[in-house]
Amino acid sequence: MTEAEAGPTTPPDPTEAFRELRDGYLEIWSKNLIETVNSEDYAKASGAALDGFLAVAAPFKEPTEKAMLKMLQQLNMPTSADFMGLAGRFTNVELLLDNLDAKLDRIEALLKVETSAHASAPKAATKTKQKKQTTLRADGTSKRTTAAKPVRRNARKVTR
Amino acid sequence: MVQAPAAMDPLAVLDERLKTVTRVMTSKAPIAQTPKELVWTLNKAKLYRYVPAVPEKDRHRIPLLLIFALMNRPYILDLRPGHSFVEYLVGQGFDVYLLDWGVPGPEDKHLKLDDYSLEYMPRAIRKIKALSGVEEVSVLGWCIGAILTTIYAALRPDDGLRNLILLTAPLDFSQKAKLTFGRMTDEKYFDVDKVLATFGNMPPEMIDYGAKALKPVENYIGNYLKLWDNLDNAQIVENWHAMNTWVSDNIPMAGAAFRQLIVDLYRNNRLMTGELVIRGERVDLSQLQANLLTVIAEGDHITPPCQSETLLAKVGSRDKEVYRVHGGHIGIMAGNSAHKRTWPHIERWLAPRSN
Repeated sequence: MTEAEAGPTTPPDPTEAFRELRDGYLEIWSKNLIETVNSEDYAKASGAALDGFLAVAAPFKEPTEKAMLKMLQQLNMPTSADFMGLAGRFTNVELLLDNLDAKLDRIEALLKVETSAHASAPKAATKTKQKKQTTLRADGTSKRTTAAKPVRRNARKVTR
Repeated sequence: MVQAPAAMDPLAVLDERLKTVTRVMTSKAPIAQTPKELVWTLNKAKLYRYVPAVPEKDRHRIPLLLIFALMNRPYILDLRPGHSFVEYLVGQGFDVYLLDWGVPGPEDKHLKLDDYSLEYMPRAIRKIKALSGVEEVSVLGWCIGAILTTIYAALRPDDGLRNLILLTAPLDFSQKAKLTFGRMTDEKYFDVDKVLATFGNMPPEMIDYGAKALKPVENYIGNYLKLWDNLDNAQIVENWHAMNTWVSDNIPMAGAAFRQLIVDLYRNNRLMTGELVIRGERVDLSQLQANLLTVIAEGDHITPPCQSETLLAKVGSRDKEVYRVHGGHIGIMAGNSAHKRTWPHIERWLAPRSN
């Protein structure tokens, strides 16, 4: 490459050689460490380290928890178990609300289908049906389905 | 790269570089910026719907649900403006939803894969159908999210799931020699019950260590050298900042689900052998009928390609495809070339199947 092709504004970077050397060294190091991590010996060593940590941590866990529980009970304050129980109950309430939401969605969909079917029916047929329904209503045995209002879903939208 | 002016004091340049390093390593980048609304919640899980950017007549009819792993935040899918998979999909006319599993607390240690795939997912999908007014849905699952979606798709084939996209899906655990995680969590060396008895949930620090240890030099040294070498390039610095924010924001994994992952999948490969039982139902992969796209990252060290390749032979889908892309576990979706390769391929596959 000629000087003109290389461009006069690109000065040589003195750190480039160092970077290349560094990257080459890291690549070799990386390959070796990946092989090490991928070996049975490493798995065995990391397992032993974890066991050692758990052996130290576990004996303190139960007494600490018991002492904390006793202290909170004496202070008449809720414990973590109380909060966990409460969280479970909240989730159950949410599940029930979601079930209700699903039912309302189904009702809403059915109402839409019924309303659209009713709207697309011939006018004459609608008139006859309405007359019939009105008669039935007068007898107190039936209600006009067309009078049903869509279920309000959002409490904030309800007019007071 | 921007050259520093020749007359600039070297100490001032160094000071500026150190200030930038301190800023990106100690602060959180503004992430997950695509406008969205919360449409459903259950326990810690939240379902978001992204605000459409395309007029309704130009949008695809079938909504798309994104499901990420259990031990990381899902905003990797919406990293930052101009570099967000979600933003890309919304711009392409998809009605996009994201199911964020949230952060499990001690009270959630009993949550299993059963709960995620047969309680949370069906309910979220029902809500999506109600909101969109469409009886079909597409689902994209990534990493452990792909395990959950596969289980759901196989157990609920009549639930309206039309398209299934699996990204770097760890489903086949038969080739133990290629699975570093498998070796680390072998029952000879790793007592999962003892760990969970101590911690309840799987601590995020342990998960993070396990993932980073697979490529220690890249994760603990190379990553920071990359930042130092590119401090003059504002775009690389901001990308690094966003990615570092995500990488260092780990969450615990529910204890019972982690136990299933290790015992049922890593150790016994029960999903592929047809022995996995979820809420009393055996997961039969031949029941999976949805159109299927599996994206495999050829350089994936967390989920090697051998874990995703064998699925296609097991499923009952007639329309199925494998897409191999050069890159790593996260890089294929959040790397610099994701918007040129992976995203457009997913869009081209999904668009004709979403109308």
